[in-house]
Amino acid sequence: MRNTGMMEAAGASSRDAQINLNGREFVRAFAALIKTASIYDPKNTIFNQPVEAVHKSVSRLFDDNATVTVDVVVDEIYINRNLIKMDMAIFGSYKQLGEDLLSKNLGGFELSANPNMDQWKQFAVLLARFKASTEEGWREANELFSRQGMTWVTFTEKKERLESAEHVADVKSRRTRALRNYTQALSVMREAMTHLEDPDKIDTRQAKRVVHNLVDLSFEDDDDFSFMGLSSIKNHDEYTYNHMVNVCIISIAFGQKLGLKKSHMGELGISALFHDYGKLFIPLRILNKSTKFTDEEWEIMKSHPLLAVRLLYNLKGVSPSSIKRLLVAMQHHINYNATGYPAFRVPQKLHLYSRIVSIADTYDAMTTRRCYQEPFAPDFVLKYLLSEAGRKYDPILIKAFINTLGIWPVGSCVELNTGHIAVVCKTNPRPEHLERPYIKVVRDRSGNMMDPQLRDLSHPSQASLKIMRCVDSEKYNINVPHYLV
Amino acid sequence: MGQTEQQISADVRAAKDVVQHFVKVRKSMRIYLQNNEVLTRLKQELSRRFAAFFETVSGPLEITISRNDLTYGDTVVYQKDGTDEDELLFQLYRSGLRSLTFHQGVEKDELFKFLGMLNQTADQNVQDDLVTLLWSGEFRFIQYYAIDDYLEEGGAEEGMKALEARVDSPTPLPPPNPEAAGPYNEDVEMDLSRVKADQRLPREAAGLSERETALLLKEVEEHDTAQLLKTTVEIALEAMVAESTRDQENKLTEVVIALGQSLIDEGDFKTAAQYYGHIDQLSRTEFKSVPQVLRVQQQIKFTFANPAHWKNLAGLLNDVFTGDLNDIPRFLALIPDTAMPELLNQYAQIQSPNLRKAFLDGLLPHSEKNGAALVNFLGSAAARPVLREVIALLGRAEDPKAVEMLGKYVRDPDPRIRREAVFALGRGKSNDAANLLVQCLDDEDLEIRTTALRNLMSMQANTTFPRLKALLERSDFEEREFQEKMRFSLALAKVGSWQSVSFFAAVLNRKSLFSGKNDVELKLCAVQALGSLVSVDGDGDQMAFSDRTDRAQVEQLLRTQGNNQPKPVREKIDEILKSLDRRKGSVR
Repeated sequence: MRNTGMMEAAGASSRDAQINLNGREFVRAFAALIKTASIYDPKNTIFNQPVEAVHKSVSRLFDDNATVTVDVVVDEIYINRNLIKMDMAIFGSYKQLGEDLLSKNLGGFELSANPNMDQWKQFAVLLARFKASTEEGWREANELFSRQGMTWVTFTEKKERLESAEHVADVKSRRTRALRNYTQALSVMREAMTHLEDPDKIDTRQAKRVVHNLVDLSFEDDDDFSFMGLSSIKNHDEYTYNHMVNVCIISIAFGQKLGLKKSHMGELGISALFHDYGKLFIPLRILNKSTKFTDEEWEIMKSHPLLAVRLLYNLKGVSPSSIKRLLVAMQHHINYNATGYPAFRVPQKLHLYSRIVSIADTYDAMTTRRCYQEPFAPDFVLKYLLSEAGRKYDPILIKAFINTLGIWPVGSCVELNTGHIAVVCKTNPRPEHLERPYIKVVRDRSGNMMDPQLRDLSHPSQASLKIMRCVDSEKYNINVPHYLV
Repeated sequence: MGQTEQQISADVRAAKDVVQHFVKVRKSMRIYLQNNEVLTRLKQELSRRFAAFFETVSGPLEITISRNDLTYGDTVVYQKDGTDEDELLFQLYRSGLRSLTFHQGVEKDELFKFLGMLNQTADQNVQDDLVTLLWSGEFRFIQYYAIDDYLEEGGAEEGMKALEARVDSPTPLPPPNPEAAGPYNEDVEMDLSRVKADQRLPREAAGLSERETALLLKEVEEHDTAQLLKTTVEIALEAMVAESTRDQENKLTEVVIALGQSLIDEGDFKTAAQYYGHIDQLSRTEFKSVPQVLRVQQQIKFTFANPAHWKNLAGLLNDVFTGDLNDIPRFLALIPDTAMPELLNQYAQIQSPNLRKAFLDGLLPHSEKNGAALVNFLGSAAARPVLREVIALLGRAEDPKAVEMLGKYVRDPDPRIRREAVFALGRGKSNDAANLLVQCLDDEDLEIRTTALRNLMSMQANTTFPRLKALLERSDFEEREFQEKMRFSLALAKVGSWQSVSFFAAVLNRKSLFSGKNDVELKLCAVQALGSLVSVDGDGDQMAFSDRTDRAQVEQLLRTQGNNQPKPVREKIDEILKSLDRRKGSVR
């Protein structure tokens, strides 16, 4: 029987990712069906395909639950109380479905059974035509739909927040899981670094398992857990390992925002984790040096991407994912405008992952305390990245990256107009409120610790609060990861 | 109560049915090749059993995996039956899987992808373990639970505690080793001069336009293996130049070859051709006269030139090739001529006629220098089933032995073989080939005679003129069909050009030829042949006579024939002359 804690943990995590996958599929299919229903006559055969897709995805959802609930909360969609993450790839369907239901004054619906295909069609046609005449659209809809014999559906009212009883327990186990994954990633990299003599021995299977767990975790982002926030864990002493893991985390979060498929997020994550693979071949006396490099040492350091070609030696056949890993290790210091290093005879077509990792690499390096540098504030680093957009970095990706982190980046400490200090915990999912993120106020005007409550700055009740500037977390003695993880 | 028991056993029976057949299909997939019929049937049966299960049971099929058995509910549905390494239970359990759930609606694609992964990882040589692969599979209807406690080895618990302590504290904990300066480890050069530090990040900084989003999404969806490999090989060559030791160079050379080879092994001939083509191009451009790269080129050539290297080519085409037929000749063009003997053996083993035809096209250019290999192959037992097809290649071979061999085939009792041989002879250019074609003009098979004539015409083999003429002058020639006589005459005009004028003039002027009964027919042929010398052929090319004086002579000859000839011949002459006049008119 499944009884070990570890096992439950791994299971829960991959289940969440699968729920997200099935939920996404439902959102896509259902939005398509409603659209079809609002354009075509019900007799049209064009209905067959979307109806079948919806029926199928709902039947899959019923396997895990006795009922299936769809909730639109402000502009997030939850299926069976799991937040379906919006990314650039399903943006259209997601937005259309959410706005459509809300405009009819419906907060969502609950299915007690999966209707057959004909019933689904009927449902979609009726829903597409339905218009609420009062604020309580859900009451009207329930009356209308049950008159038509569709007793298997119950519409629900609009809500501001979704509460779940299991939530507290979930949060705790998730935090443990997140930290465990982080530790495992660290130890995999530490292990990798011990194979300097024989890099063939590096166990990429283990690294993949670790990265896959991290990707799964990234789907569990919600009000109490910021996946990106994991990258705020810094360790000055063990910079090398922490940096690799953080670049991996930032890249995964970024990839998710871009709408990468789960398997591609895995590829990206593993590429990011090993982006400095070439450094394994740099002599330790240089790698571990704690003072500035001499010119000669700097030249050796600059050879590290090219040394990553040794990744290939043990390659058994063409596997696109291992090739991408190589490309990232090779290209992450080549700039968007082809400057940087190493220099190639054939101008390199920089792979998407290389350009992503190059941004994540810089972001983490600059926000971390180093022996030669105080950490830069996250918003300063974004400004730096922006100043190099089109030169060092892909300008479109820089925009997308700022979208991922927000104008006030997740993990930064900010001073409010009231003099309070807050930690930015989550990007506002509504693009129009990008500069009003979710924050936790952690210090009062006099610097006393406060009980941190998550606040959505775009909520009318928070309208008087304004972020004035980013501040140094160390100055206020704030341990940022504490509030994010 | 009895009914419930029955119900339960029906569930279990259905589950057993599925699992046992599942095991069978998994085994079969290791024995049979992908496109095998038996396997296809087994797979269909598996889908059917899954469907039957979901008809009987309303929930998913959840299988618990333990070291010694698979259970459904509390019932064992599969038990360990052997100890060999690739045994299913051992594989599942070892990889950490503890349960598998198949949900209603599971599709064939997902199911066979899953089975494929099971077999893939049973092979010790792969880089991914089963759980890793399953994870990447992004299954919607198949769920698994796996433990990953092996990640917990090596003091992870300690690390975990330290990390927890660090995160738990609302204020930063001092570093465990405050003395350590940490590694310098800087690898970027930063220019902070352009940063607008005192300004807020503008909102536009995050404002992606629709076009930009579309561009990004397009790239996210893009999977261009060929491009990936091209970049990889550029990197590998670059590194090869940078790597100082010969040992590193050899390793990289191996890698470059292996990358292409794995494409071939997957039956992706198209990408393989692009890949090697790219290396060739690089060696002539960016890496021109770089010794390391020249050595790579030589090594590739050396590998490909070895016949033994292609032992499994037919197998790949039969079993895994799914590309475009045009990819095949393009790919074969990469292989040096020396591998031809093996390529011929492989050819004989290709099953589909379409694939064989494409392969044959690819063998044609190799045939020129490979007469001896062709002759050897044709003499072997392996050639028998494909004899007729391979004969076609002989024609292209420049080796006199090939023509000699064709000489043997044009005398073969089997007309089908003779037909191929006479067709092949048309591809040669030698006098020997032309003489053999003349021999064929006496073949009992009309198709062979016609092909031989057509080949002689297209070869414009004027050395054969005397023999062709002699044939026309033989008395038995009179007995042939009018159409054939006509073709012969036209061929003689084409082959003999001006030499033939006097011959045809003689035909027209003789009162009677041979028995005399077919005079009109023979004269019509002569007129038509003369006409062909002065008219324009279908392609608009002036035939035979480029010289105006020669043309005028023939025209004069025709004009003076008028009254002496029988009516049909006269009419034919008039017709030709009229068309000549019309053309002159249009030229003017």
